[in-house]
Amino acid sequence: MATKILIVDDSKLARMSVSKLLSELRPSWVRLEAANADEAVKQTDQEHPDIILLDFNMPGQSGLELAAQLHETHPDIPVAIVSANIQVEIVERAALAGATFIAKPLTGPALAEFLTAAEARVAAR
Amino acid sequence: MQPTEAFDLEGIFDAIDLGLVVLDERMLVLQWNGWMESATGRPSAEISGRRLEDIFPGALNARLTTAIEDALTAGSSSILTHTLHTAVFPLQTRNGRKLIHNVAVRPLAGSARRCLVQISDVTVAVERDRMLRERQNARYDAVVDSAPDAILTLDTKAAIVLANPAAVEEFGYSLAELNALPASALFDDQPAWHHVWNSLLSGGRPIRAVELVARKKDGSASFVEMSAATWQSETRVFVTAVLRDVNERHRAEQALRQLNQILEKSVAERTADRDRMWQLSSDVMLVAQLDGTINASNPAWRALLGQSGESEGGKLGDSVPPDEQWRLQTILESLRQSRGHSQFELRHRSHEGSLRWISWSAVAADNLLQAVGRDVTAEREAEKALQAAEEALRQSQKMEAIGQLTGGIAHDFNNLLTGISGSLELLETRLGQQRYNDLERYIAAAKRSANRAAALTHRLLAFSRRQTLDPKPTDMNRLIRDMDDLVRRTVGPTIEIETRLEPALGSTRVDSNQLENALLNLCINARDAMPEGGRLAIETRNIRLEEAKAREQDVPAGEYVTLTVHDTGSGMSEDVIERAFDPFFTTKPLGEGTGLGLSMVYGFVRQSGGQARISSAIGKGTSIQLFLPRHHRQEELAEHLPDLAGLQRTQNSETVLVVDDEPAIRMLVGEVLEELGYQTLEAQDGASGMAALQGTDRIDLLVTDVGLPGGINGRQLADAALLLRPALKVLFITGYAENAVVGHLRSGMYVLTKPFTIELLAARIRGILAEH
Amino acid sequence: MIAPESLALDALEIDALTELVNVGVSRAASSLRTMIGSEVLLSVPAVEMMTYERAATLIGEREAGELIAVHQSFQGDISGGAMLIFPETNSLELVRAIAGGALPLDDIIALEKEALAETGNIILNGCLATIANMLQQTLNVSLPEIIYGSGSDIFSRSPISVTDSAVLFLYINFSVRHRDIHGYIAMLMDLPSLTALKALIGKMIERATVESTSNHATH
Repeated sequence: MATKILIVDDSKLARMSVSKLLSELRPSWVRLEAANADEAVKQTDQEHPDIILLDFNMPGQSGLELAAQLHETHPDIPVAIVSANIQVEIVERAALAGATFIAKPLTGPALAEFLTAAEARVAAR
Repeated sequence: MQPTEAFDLEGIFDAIDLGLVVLDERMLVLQWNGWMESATGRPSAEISGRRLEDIFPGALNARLTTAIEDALTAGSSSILTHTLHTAVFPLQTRNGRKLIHNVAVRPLAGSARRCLVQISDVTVAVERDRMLRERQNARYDAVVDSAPDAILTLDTKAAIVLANPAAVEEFGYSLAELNALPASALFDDQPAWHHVWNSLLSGGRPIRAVELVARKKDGSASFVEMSAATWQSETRVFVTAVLRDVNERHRAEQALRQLNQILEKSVAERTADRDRMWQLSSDVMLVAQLDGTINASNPAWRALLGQSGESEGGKLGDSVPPDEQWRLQTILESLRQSRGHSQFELRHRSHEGSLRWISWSAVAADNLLQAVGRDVTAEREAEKALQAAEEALRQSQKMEAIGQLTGGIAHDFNNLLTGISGSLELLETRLGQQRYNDLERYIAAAKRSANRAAALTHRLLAFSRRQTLDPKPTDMNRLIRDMDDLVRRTVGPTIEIETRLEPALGSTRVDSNQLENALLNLCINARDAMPEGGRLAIETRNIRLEEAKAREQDVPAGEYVTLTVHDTGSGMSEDVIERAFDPFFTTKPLGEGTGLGLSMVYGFVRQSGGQARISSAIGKGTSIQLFLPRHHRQEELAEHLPDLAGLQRTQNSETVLVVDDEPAIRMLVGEVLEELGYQTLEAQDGASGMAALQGTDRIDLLVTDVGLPGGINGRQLADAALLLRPALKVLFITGYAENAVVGHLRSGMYVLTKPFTIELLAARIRGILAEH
Repeated sequence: MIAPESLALDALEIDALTELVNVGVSRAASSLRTMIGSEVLLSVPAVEMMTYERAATLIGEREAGELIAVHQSFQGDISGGAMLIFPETNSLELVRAIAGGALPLDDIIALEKEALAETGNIILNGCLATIANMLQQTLNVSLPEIIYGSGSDIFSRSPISVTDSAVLFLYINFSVRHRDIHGYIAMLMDLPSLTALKALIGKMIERATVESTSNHATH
């Protein structure tokens, strides 16, 4: 079965942008989208994605809070937080929530690096 | 471009008073100007083509890098101010001091991507500003920094802008923590804080000494007193607040409040206790003014007096019967004076009309009287009842005794009267028969009976202890010898009698009749103590009592004669000895003996100035010793009563006034007086006696009965007579009950007790009139 | 949100612009964080396009007191002025939050202006540079200056004329050292600039989203 990846970002453009990158890096994968934390949770429960990408800066529940929640409910799913706000505190908190931190704007190499590591974890499950 | 312009521009590059650094798109330094060379100490050629990070290893910050990147890529301009960066570059002034600078990063226009970094020296300006500020703040700081109270400056959002050292200490936060801390975080009671804050901002008037509960960093509470005022700097409004630690004061207030509460509570409790006592007590309680006006009374008082409801007022004296009013006033007066504690009893009329005894305990203080009273009516009545019962008992005992006595006396008198009347009848018969021999025999018999009757009467009088004794110097031994016969007959044959009489016994002034009675009584007691027979001894002695011994015996020191009666009878126990002299005390069964004997003896002896003593022990017999004062005037007047016939008739024609309501007495006395040769006058009552005395007749002696009818008694007559006739002699004839009436005998006044013999009367009259 | 019809930005364009700005302020945030050593959170929850008057009155409605603004003008294919606007009471808080650890408290009041200028410079540059990069443009951005006054005062200082302008209005939330401060960013542009912007945004969207159709799970 194809790997499912969930993209969570309130900006449609951002989702589209990431989706484009993914289609280049992992064309066979199924790409799921959510615009906010609630949708993301619903998608996760229903579709059972293997990997999740979260925007940090979202209205309502932030990406960091969502990551922490997902870490509790679905600890096996590798999660990455994507943000332009590169601050050591945020990186630390991401790590505490069991998520990797990737800088925005998302570049190919940075995303590829994460995907490789995530695949390995998924395979090892 | 003209060469001159290029020259000018180049010159400007190095002349300008700014640091200028040119960087290319690879962020390598192309060159910098003379100012930079001076400030860094490194010539441009040396550093050209190198990266800034390499020129200033470790000294640069990220912001600068970002700024340069942005300038190169996006065309942004950036500033880096000394306010946010202490030193973007490590630069020095010409004096070698740290160069404070602002940096501006600008993209450079041109075909190639270039970036210009400008550095401006603001050292002087900054330091000048700092000095100015410091000078301005110096005084303020001196006060604020050394102030013991916490001083905070807040902006209009109540965030702390400034805090002094005292604030750090007071609240426990560090200076850095206090910075930008919302002031509301320091206070416990948010609504209270906000109220104060809002009133301060809106009212525009400073607030003074508002007490608030502050919260230290560690969470503990602190009581502070806040004063605050607003002030302006340019357009900005600030608030400076002074917070004084008032924990000590607050603790003290707390303690005081608690103490007050405790006091109030205990006062309330005590008051409640007192109220309860006041209400429930069955003792009456009063608070009154010193004149007796009642201010407050408890229910018990009202119950006593039958007043219902809250009737205050009234006086204490209202319920006191008239005969006790003076006592009440005296008590009130003494309370007023002494202002101490007083205990007294008063009678009060209760609402039922009965009199109740109230035992009061009262104290006067603060111009008020506080009194507690207990109804002791029951006790008093019980006492009275007891007394009455005792009295009744005594009475009944007395009555019994009297009954016995009178019975016995009547019996004796009967006998004696029979003797007298019998003799007189015989006399009559003989005279009728004109047989005139042996008449003396009948007369003698009658006289003897009469004498005995007189003696009996004496004894009765002695029992009542109210007779006036007729003391005369007496030879006790002689008296005892004369009584020998009588004593023997009294004690009976079973008892051996022994007399041990002191040969040179002194005389004593006693009523000899009484002495006879006393001796007889003692012998009778001795006899009764030896029902199986025994030995009786009568002893007389002279003794001398020294001070100590005399005091023991409760008599004056001096010489005494003693008369002791010993018996070998059953003896007395200590209890009996103690009570032996008590009237009515007898160890004999009811019906035998009146218990009067020893008491009479005792009475007679004490009246005579002496003492009686008992020594006895059970089974060892009894000795009763009488002490009588020795009489030293060697008047060995023998009690020889001269015959009436032997008395010399007076040569003078003295006149005697005889006052007596009893005609027989008047006749008798008159006869005696005539025989003696005196003139007599008679009166039957005080008034006629007075009339006679007021007359002009010569009267040398007034012989008067004490008890006279008609309002004037003998004594009063005598006193009136003496006013008229100061040289008048008076002889009172008294019965047993009249001693008190006679009273004190003045000189020239004499007493003769009924009954008496003719001889005695004559001798007394003679004796009195012979004394001039 | 009233702009000349032809220049109205559609949803996707707004979305793109919002994303741009958020990325921009996030970078500014991390830049600030480096400076002050404490976590800084910047976010732009909403972006609106509106007229000049509307922008001025909107601020007036929301903020009762005086305002303080950091203004930078920019030039290029898109020209205009960018302003970071705070209620005056917030600005000192902001500066103190930024500079508080380092400076003595009383210095902050005195140096407030300069510190604010730099802070504004960082934030505005964050946005502008990002926009420039994403749109593959170069903007010549001026140095910051401080302006005090009411909403209309501030806007009137911009070199752009009133009538012929559109305002990109952003709400910005600032969170630093447990203080939450709110403010506004207003970018004034003339109509040609707006047109150019719209075109540039369109290109950006293209670049970002082309070739992303396959295996796309729609929902």
